[in-house]
Amino acid sequence: MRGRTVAQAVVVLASIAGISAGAATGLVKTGVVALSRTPEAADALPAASVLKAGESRRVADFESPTNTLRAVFVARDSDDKLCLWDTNLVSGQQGGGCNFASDPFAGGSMMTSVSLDGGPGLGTVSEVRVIGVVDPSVATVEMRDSKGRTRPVHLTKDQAFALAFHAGAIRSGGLPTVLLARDTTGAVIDEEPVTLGIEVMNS
Amino acid sequence: MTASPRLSLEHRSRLAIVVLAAFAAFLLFASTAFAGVYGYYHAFQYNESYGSGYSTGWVINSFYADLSGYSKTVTWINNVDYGWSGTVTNTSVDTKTTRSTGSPAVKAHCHSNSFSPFYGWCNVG
Repeated sequence: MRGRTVAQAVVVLASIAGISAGAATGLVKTGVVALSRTPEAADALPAASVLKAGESRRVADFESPTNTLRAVFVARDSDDKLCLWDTNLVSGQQGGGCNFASDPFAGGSMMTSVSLDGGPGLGTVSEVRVIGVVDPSVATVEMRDSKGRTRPVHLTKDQAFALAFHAGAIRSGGLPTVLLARDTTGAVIDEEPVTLGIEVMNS
Repeated sequence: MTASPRLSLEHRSRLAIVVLAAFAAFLLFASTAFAGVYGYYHAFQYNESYGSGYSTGWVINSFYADLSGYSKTVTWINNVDYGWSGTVTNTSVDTKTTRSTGSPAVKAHCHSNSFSPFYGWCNVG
């Protein structure tokens, strides 16, 4: 009888340990929904990437205005940070950012990054790309441009998005100046300004 | 006891090979020796920027901050027309851009767009 009780206790403790280990992997606590699904072959970073292969998910595909095939990846790096990568699928060139895996949205609900080709003069910029991933609490994302116009941003099944703009959008004021994340009630739960970085040099 | 002209030529050839090998080794060393921090760790102010030396071997340019929330830009500047490529701006803890090795030579560049000072550093490899 006593042996049976001890065995039951061991099973309970093992279950608790298993649940704790699952939570500690980060797949549960990151809030990045793509990391909770089983990886597929397409989730691997391109062979031409200079980054070390690791756990990654391809969360959005898009085409740039210059007809380059691109994708957005989320990936865990060797410093246990979660990174968001705007990726050229042909050349392997990547650009993006990384946050601590324990808080990938940095206290908010969105992680975003802006990339551009050309510069530093605004007149030499050929395209601008804005990518992002949002946590599960976000129902919709919209962009607002410099003229106050808003438009919805398509979210993929992995709660990610990618926007690409040609050079004309810079001159016409069509670039987003802010991204708004809303919950299911329509309330804004996060707001990210969109900064090109070269405005400072051109001011 | 004087060396024959033929032996002297062999010596000179060997010496030339050794010198060339040493020079190649130096170039290899030099191309990697300066990879590392090019914007030292300190409190970055608004509009502050740093640049590395030019190289055809750079593949990753990173601007690290202690915390997220500060707008930072990284880019590659080539040594032909000084145009930018692979420019990335965000407020993540790490802001990064990569490239493939090869011509033209580029330098890594990092820039703070944040009105609030923050601690960070820039690294190229």
